[in-house]
Amino acid sequence: MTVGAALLLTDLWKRFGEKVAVAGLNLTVPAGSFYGLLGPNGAGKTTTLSLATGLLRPDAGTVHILGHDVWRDPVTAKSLIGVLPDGVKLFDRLSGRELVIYHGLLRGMDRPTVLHRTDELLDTLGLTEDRDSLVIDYSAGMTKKIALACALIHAPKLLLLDEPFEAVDPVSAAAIRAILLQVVVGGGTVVLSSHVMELVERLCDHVAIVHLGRIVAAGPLDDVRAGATLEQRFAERVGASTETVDLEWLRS
Amino acid sequence: MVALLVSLKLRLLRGSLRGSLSQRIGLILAALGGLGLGLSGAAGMVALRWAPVDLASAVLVPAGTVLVTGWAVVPLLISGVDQTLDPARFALLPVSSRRLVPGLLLAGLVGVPGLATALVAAATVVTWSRGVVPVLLAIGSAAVGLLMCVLASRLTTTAAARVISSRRFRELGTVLSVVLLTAFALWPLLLDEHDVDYDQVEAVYAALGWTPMGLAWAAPADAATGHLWRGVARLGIAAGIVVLGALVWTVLLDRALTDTASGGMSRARVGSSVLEHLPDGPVWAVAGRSLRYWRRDPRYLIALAGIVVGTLLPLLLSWSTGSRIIAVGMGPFVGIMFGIATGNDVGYDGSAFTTHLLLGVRGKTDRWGRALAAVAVGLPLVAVASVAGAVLSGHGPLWPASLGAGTAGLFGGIGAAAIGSALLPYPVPEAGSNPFNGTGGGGARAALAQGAVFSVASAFAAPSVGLLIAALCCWPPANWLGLVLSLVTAPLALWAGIEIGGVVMDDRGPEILASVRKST
Repeated sequence: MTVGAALLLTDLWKRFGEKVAVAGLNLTVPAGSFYGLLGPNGAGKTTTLSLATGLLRPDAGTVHILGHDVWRDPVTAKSLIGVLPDGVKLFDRLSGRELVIYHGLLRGMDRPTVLHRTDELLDTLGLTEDRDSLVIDYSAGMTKKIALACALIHAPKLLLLDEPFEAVDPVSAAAIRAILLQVVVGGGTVVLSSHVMELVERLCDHVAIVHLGRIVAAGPLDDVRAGATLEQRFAERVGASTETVDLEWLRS
Repeated sequence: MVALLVSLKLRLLRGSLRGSLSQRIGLILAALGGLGLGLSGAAGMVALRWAPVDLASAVLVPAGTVLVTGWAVVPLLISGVDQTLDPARFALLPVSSRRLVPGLLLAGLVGVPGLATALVAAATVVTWSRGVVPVLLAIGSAAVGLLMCVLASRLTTTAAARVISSRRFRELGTVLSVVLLTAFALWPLLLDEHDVDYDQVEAVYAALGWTPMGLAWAAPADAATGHLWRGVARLGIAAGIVVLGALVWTVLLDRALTDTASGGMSRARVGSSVLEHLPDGPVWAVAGRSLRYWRRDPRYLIALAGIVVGTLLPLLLSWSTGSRIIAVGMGPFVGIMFGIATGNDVGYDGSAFTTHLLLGVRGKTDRWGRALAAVAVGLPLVAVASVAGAVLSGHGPLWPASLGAGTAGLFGGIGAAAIGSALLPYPVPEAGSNPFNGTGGGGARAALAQGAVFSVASAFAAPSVGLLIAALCCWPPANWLGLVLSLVTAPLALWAGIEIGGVVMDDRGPEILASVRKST
């Protein structure tokens, strides 16, 4: 087992009925890296992140977080990660502040630390003004931000973020970028999935491309790019044509 | 345009049948139920053909009024009832409201409620087949009445579209509609007591016959009793109201199409409460969160209302027959019912249960936190019900045994539900959606789980209930013995349920999540 791996996925399989969502996926995320997970819609990114975080039981394969098996020793493994899941509800009848505090207390932290960190996080993410509104009334972007605050409250060693920048305004996006870079500088590891190539190129030092439930390319950003842009390499790997069809009638 | 809109509605109906098998079965059963209701209504109308004119209109006019009012009010109260052809969806298309109106009206009739109403309306023609003129008038009134129904629903929904899109109104509406429906169910029981004054009833339906909702339905009766012109006048006024209503709706629609507003953010001030002062630690965090949900999530309130109504209903029934002894069962009944209700807890979380799974919250922690909150809410309720039950039954001194049986039921119920909701979790409708809808596929599992929890809880409460009965009939020492027994066994049952439920939850986390998040 690689001790230097923050996240180690070995031969993961998951099928839903007839459909194979993840087909023998292997991935090593080095500790201290800023890792971008790319892939077309339906490639299996969210399923992979669900398998990696203990939300979904794999049919076969293992998941190790900083050396701890997620399915053998879930409590230790889960105490080390912070996760921003996509497409799930939060306990949204709590106010934003109550929700973050709830996450901190569930992690077993003491109340003064939780309160202190919560107010700092809400301030950094620009949510102080709405901290007493119920999360169910938040906009999509605000919900993303409060979920991120919940994932950060216990200073995790590994952050797994599904589409963290979706629906977030530019000012907040800059704040989130700054936070994530701080995590990496401090020795932590960040894994994020995104559809925005420019963002991944700017932020990440490693990338992996998921296609049809497998990793089709992975490694340091420059190795994967190999002289071209990430978008070109991405299109090559997932077999999409970059040629545009000419819709003549649109120009009339 | 009319054909296009009606075919769109048909397509949407067919699409809703495309879910999983159990979902399809649920929908088909609901449709059969609705059609059955329509058919039995129609059969009633046909049967009225042989009733005297007085009786026929005494039934028909109030029924018609209720029908139109129902169409107007039900979609307001219960969200999720047919928003399929929501006018706001046409806002981006270049169509004028005048072209939309006839199609949207007809499309509103497509579907089970429309079909059932049409059946009843058509059957009124049979009711009045007592001569050529009444039949002619009845055909007209059936058509006008039917249009009135659809128009009423479209008018109220369009007018209220802006208000209804706010969460608070929907949730209030959900609670209100449950209360109203249960009140309706209770109504005949109360009536039974007093003799009905028929003169008053007659005056009421005569007045209904001149309201916009009743006008059309009262017209044929006039013709049957020889007041032809009064009938024609009623029908004419009703038709005029329909035309006027359609015009008003066109104007409202115009506004809705050019200004699609959405609900704003409601600020829920949450001051410092007792919950802020709970001890630290995950168990108390879960308990505090649970307690907030008992107050803020309308589904918990509906469950409580259901328990109250379910308790009072048999009581009223027995009182109307002059027997009071049944009240002695109130405590254990409320206890077990409340315990079963806590089994919905994980289902209410839905995909939010992800949080507990992601954070690696231990099953035992989760179970303890929820159970503490449930006890905090349920124990006072059960105590009141137990003591009140003993007093109301005329056996006030038996309160210790009654309290014992109630507590045993409550703790046994919560303990059994702690295992049940981990072993057999099921999805629950979202807050603010139609509570009478159920979730397709979840119904059978929910029934199985609740049945199992009920059996275990009852079996557990049985000794305490037995002592209550013994105290009641023949063995006085059983009174205090019942309370003492429960003080020992009730916490034991809770503890056992939580321990077992916790282990099951640790084992089956992802599977529990998968079964409760189907509710989307």
